[in-house]
Amino acid sequence: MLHLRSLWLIIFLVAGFGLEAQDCQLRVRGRVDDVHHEHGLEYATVYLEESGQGSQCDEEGRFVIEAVCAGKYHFLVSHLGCESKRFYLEISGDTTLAFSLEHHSHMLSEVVVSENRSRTGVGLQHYTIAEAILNRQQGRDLATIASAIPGISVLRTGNGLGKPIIHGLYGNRVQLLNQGIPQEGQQWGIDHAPEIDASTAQKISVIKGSAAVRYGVAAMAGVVLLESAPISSDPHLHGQFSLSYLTNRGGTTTFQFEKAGALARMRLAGSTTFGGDQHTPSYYLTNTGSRQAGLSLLLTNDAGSAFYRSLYGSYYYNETGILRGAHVGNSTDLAAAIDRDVPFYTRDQFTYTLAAPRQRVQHWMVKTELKKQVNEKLRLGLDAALQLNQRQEYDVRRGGRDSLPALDLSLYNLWADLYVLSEKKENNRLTLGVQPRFTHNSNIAGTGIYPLIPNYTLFNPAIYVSWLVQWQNIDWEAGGRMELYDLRASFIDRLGQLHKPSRRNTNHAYNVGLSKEWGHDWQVKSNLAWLIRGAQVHELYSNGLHQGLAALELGNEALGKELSLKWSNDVRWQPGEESQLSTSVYWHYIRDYIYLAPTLENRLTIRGAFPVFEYRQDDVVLKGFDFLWHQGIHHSWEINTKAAYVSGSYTDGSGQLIYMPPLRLSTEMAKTFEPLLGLKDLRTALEVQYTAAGGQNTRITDYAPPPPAWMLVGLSVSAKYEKKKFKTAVQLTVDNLLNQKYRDYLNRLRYFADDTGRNIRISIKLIF
Amino acid sequence: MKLTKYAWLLLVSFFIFSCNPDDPDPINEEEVITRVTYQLTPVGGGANVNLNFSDPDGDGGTAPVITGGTLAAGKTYTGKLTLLNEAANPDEDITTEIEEEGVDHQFFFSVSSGLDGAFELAYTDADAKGNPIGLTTELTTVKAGSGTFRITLRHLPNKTASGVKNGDITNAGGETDVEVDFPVTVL
Repeated sequence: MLHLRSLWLIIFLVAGFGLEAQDCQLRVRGRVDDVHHEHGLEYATVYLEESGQGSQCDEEGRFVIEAVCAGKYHFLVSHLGCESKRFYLEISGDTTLAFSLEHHSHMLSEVVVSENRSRTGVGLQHYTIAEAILNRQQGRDLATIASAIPGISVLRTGNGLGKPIIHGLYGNRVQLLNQGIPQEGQQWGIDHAPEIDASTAQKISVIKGSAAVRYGVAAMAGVVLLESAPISSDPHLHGQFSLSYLTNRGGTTTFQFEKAGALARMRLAGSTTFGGDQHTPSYYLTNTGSRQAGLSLLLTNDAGSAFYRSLYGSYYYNETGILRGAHVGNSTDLAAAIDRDVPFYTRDQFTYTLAAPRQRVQHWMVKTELKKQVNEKLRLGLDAALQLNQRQEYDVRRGGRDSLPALDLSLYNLWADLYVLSEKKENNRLTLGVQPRFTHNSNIAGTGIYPLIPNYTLFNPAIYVSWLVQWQNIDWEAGGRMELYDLRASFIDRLGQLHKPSRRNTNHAYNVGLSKEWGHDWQVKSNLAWLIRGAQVHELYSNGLHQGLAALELGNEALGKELSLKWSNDVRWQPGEESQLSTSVYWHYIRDYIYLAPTLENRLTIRGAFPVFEYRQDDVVLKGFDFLWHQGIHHSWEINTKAAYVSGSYTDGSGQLIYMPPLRLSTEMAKTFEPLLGLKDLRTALEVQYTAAGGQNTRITDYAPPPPAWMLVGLSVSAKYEKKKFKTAVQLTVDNLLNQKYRDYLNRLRYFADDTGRNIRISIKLIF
Repeated sequence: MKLTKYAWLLLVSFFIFSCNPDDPDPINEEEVITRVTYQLTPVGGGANVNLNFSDPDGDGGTAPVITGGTLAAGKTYTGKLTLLNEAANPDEDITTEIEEEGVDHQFFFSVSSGLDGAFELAYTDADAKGNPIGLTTELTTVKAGSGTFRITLRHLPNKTASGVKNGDITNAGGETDVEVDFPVTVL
């Protein structure tokens, strides 16, 4: 059995014989092929939904359906173990069809190593998360879903809020691209999760390497991409609806509808999540509930295919509670909270209540994309987006001020990318682009607290160029980018004095990449990226108390530029049809790396003493590797093994960087069964995940010693049931099957509480 | 061409939006406590002793000013706490806010080793549920000593936890709103 989980069906209408259509006497025949192996797919099925007629292919992949009436039909083409695909065709005479199933040779069961078809980044591998994982993780946050790819970890504040870490870096060094648009929000905060509803994307992928030329200096460590699948030309309404329930959280519903009309194709997608207090193996995590909703609408129009237009709009709402016992007043409280086994304020019953401390985030985006093929060699494109982001954080306060936000920020951002792509020959492409970008951030008055970051405007236009060429059977790419960083801030100090500092500098990014293939077995990609990045607003001017960790955080106006050099290499080896190995090895040097470090000072206030953290610069180097191995056995068993390791240290030998992801190993064993009682794709999988103890020999002393290594076991069972027009997919997943008590080094709440215990998730998805 | 039109529109919109950040409104810090005074009045007459902690510019800025005191051994004092926010205009009396939210607040008193056993302290007030707040106290000096006297105000403590009613902070929990140290000598 083949593992073609997200196969691409390319169909060619080879010939339509113009015989006079005698009603219901037509013959439809053809072949279902596997493009790569140039042989037919045996026992694939072709099914006409309207008439209920169908045929199974022979050993050569051939099929014949007799006595078909003239008309329009949905063709459902499926193959054992594959995602079925639907096509809409008109049959007016005897017809020969060739369904060419492109068996994507670079595919693993969990993670798809896809060929990069974007305009830049030849030397960087795209790792795409398989649809099966997206299904299994529905209702989870983006970072958790992305962590299915080795080399991606999650920096958490409890289980609701997670930031993706790529190769040891996060926040303003990882770019999130939502529908091709750089996500703009309050990413400076360690407890600020990306303001994205992951379930509105049909495809989530990751680039583990600097893609800064195309996406700006925030893509220093890598990029997380959320994309929409193309909308089919089918004029009928299709869609899906799903319901899931998690024993250790709550429920999620999602829906998606699509339809092609005369003017445009349309997709409407949305989701809601309602969650209450989570549970460790032995107690409730009081106040860790959440509410989330997302809605998006995509309209596309490619009249005549020479001019493609699309319009996308989305809204995201999230409200998440933060563990009550993690809220501390000063460093004495922090020490007391860390010392406790069970956090203060732990209630012994479950509730859905959300109280302070909590945060509420809303994000709107409107985006348009235009592409015009001027002639065979020239294409013009314009992407433009307006984003609006609002963030409110609520603290435990005196005098009934809990309902008054302690931090209230409103930000809007305008971004555009206007580019010309000139393709002289195949594999000789020049792209030139201009990217204006403008951000406006305001603190909403009335919090009664001095804001942590100032009001500011940022004008950040860029120009970039990239050239792709094939030479010596190797794909080469070279690119460069220059970015103006014009920042104007405005804030009031504690003496009531107004300050209006401004700063202007230039950021640069350059890269050289190559990609080489040897047959279908080997592929090597390498990318060297150099970039210079000026200090950002929070690094320069933040000033205030970070309540969660009882620390005063101070910006540093004396910060200079940061220089980064990242060399990433990806090797893929496919020794046989059933096995594949994929690995990345990287080396990342950052001179004058800007980060938040404790000073020796303890500041005395009326609430007691607080440690003072200040942004500073040091030379650091990060290096590591990730590894992914897929092995199928007799087309029914599979073993997927993953490993990721990163080490970050100061170049002067003074120790390791703090909060580096610990070594992680995981292996999954899965068996796919023959169809049983009408259930297709019946698959069970057992996964064991080991995470080593982290935070060894760090130069900065942590608040509490890092937690020991831990091991988790997960189990999942999934199956599909297809009947006529409906397809039903059911999933049962158990995380932390053994109810293991553990603390995750990368979870900030590990100072206060254990991580979540066993979580059983049941979900059902209806596709029509 | 249509695309050029879009591009112009976009470029123009950038200029409309651009330029300067909004100037922030003056910030009225409502919850700040800038002054803590512990006034000790000797029972049966004598001069008051005032322990005082003052930090008018709040967190950061100039360092706070701390005034300690000297008590006489073998005497009983009535203690009264006053908390002020001098950042507000006019000064805000936080004492009443704490009294009103008595069930959500409690003061705790502790000493460093030099003052071990030098005096005894008892709560003389109660909240709506009959648990102590600590705005008024009675302090009896026992023997001579010298060291640090600490006053802590906890917001949302668990007053029913073991020992909390008697002034033991260990199981109290809650957030610290005030934690100030005074040099105190008992002669």
